[in-house]
Amino acid sequence: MRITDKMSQNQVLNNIQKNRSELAQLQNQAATGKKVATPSDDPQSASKILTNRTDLKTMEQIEKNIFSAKMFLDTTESTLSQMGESLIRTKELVIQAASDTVGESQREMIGSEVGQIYNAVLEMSNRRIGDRFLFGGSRTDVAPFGLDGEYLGNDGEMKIQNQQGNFVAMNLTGDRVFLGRGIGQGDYIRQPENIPQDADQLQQYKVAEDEREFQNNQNLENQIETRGPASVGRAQGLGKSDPVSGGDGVNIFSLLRSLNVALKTNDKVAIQDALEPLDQALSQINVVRAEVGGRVNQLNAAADGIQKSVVDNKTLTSQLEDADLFKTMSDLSKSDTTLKGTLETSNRLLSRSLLDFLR
Amino acid sequence: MAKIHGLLDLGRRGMAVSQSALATTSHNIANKSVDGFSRQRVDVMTNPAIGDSKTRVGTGASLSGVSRTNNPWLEKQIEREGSNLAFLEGRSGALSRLESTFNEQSVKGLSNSMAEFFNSFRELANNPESLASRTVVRDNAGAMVKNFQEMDRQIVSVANELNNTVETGVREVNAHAKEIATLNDKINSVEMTGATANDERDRRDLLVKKLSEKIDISYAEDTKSGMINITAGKTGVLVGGTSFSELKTSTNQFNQTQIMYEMSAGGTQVDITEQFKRGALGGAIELRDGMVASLRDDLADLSYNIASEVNRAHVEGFDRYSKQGENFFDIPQDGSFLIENLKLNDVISTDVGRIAAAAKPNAPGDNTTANVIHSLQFKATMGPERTFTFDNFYNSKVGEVGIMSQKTQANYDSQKSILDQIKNVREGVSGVSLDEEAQKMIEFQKSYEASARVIRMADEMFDTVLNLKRL
Repeated sequence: MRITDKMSQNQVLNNIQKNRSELAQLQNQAATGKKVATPSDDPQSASKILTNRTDLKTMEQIEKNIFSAKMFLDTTESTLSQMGESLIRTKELVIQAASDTVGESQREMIGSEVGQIYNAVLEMSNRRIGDRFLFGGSRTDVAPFGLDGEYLGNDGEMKIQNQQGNFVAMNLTGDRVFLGRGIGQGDYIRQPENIPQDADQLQQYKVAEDEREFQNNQNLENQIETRGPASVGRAQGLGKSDPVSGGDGVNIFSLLRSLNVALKTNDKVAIQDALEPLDQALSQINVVRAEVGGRVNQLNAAADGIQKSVVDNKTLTSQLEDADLFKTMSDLSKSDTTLKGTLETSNRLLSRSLLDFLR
Repeated sequence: MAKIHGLLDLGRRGMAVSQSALATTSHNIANKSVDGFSRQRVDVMTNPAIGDSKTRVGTGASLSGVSRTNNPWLEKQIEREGSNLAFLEGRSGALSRLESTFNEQSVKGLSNSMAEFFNSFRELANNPESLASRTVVRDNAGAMVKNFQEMDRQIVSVANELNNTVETGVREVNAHAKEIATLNDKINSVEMTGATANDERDRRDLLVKKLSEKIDISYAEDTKSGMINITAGKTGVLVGGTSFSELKTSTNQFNQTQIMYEMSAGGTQVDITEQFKRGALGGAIELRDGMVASLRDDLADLSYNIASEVNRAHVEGFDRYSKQGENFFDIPQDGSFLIENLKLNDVISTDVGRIAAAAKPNAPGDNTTANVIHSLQFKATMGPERTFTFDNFYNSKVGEVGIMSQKTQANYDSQKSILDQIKNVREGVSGVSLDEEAQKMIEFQKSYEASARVIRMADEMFDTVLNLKRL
């Protein structure tokens, strides 16, 4: 084959360029530690990496969600445990007052302690975290309970995403905890478990919510007819089923208030009658505490799951985009040697011609 | 019988031939690095012998012409493959720019800001009462809109760059066409005398290759006159003998530079853009009207869908003031959506309290609507069958750009090596070798010397003859 000068020049140039571009790519890999620097390096991986990163971001956000929900639930739990203690103290006092050995003045003293407990429970029911009331449902900006224990909040649950597509309510509504509404098999309709996922479901949800509220109000009105003056006064108000709450939960406020009245009026029968609803109130608190515990467990499990997924996610991303540094380094030195060889041989190839030997 | 005069003449002719050969060698050496140059050789012809039938004595040699060493078939191949390479080259530059627009490996891009947008709604759901989380929602939404607009702007600038390629390409084509017409004239007049216009032909071959690197051409040589006629695309007659016509450009309503052909000077212009499928301009046009345009549409689709889905949920909600939510994003309802016009509703950008997180009034802690909005992130709402989530859709576009860029680069590399090989073959045939030229130089120098010796010898012979008498 006839070899001309331009041929050898082109060959040398092409070879050097090939070596250099290979070297540049490897150098870039070594410097950034990434083998995928642009989508074209590995299109499938590049798009997978993006998905992974979005997933990671979501998981990190969900971790924050879980943290904030747990904080809410922990505060709720400590408040409820205080509540439990107050009710146990009340029970002690009632047992003491129900005894025949106790006189009228002592009962009155016990009565004023129960009055204090009422105030303490009222304070607990209006507890806040930050500027959000714990027990007001989704109406977090006004104190949920008035001085007479009337409920001003709503029954809205604040649901927090703890996994993709999975939500946990982070609050207990005050009507449930303190008024016993919807605790048992009453006709009270609670919020649905599922939350809407898009605009159409949101529309249906709103309609369903309106209907539910209307139903509940109607049920409530029907019962209020029968309520009469029972909230204050006689011990009949301490009955098993509270007329206000409807279901078989206990209205703790009216229980305490009636107890207070019974103690002050030295009504021994009423005091004895109060023991059973007190036990019910205690178990009502325990029921909701168990619920809180269940939710915290659920959140912890979700957090554990997410931590594992985060590690998996990072490992996968790293596998997709990170360069194998040992390989890169050995390739780098290989390419470097090749380039040196090319340059050295180029020197020989380009500098010689017949003219050099004709003198 | 030969005469001494004849010898003198023979020597003189020999010297002339050697001199021309040396001149051609020098010409070769001087043009060693000129693109498209083919090495030239003198064609030396033996002169007819004279004398009677038995004693015919040769009369030396004379120059019959200078010819170039050239394989037209190879030139044609280079023209073809060069056109293919230029097609890929025209795409690969713009594609890598496009790719860097979609590259989020080292910088934060759209995928990141979409994730942050939806996460800020998750944070809002954690604490809908908080002014801080509302502000974050607004700012992240604004950042996402900016990101969409920035990407759109970059895609447009890639399209403009491609327009520019078309514009300057057409200008080059016109300049080449003009030069080819001039060369046609020159070649015709030189070759009328029977000579070959070597250098002009080399130059014309090179220009044809350059033309073909820009656009689709077809050409044919008129064997009688040696002139070539070139047609651009299918219908645009670019060079016809010694005359040429210019291609024009114009911008259409989509802001795309189109290639126009004038049917007659100053007459109606016909859009022949469609006819160009090869060369750098073909590559630029295909990329611009294909991938770049569709990516821009896809991005507009994505932003429109996000905006309208979020709006649809948002108007169902209730804001901090228990008022029914308004549109979150400001988008025209008449279908004339442009990314550059996308923005947050003014009501929301001035007062974050108007962001609707709740599903009922008087419930500042209710986060149902916020939950709905962030759930949209993983809802399949994109594509004709609504089978892709926003992220899927966008990520698949990133993959598409990556694959296209990767493929083009790989094709470019292999095409380049094909072309390099053919060019090597051409250099093997037509290229100048210094070794060879040095050897020829010595050869012709020696013959020149020898021819001079012949003249001296003849001179001495004259002397001998003239001195006969004196002896």
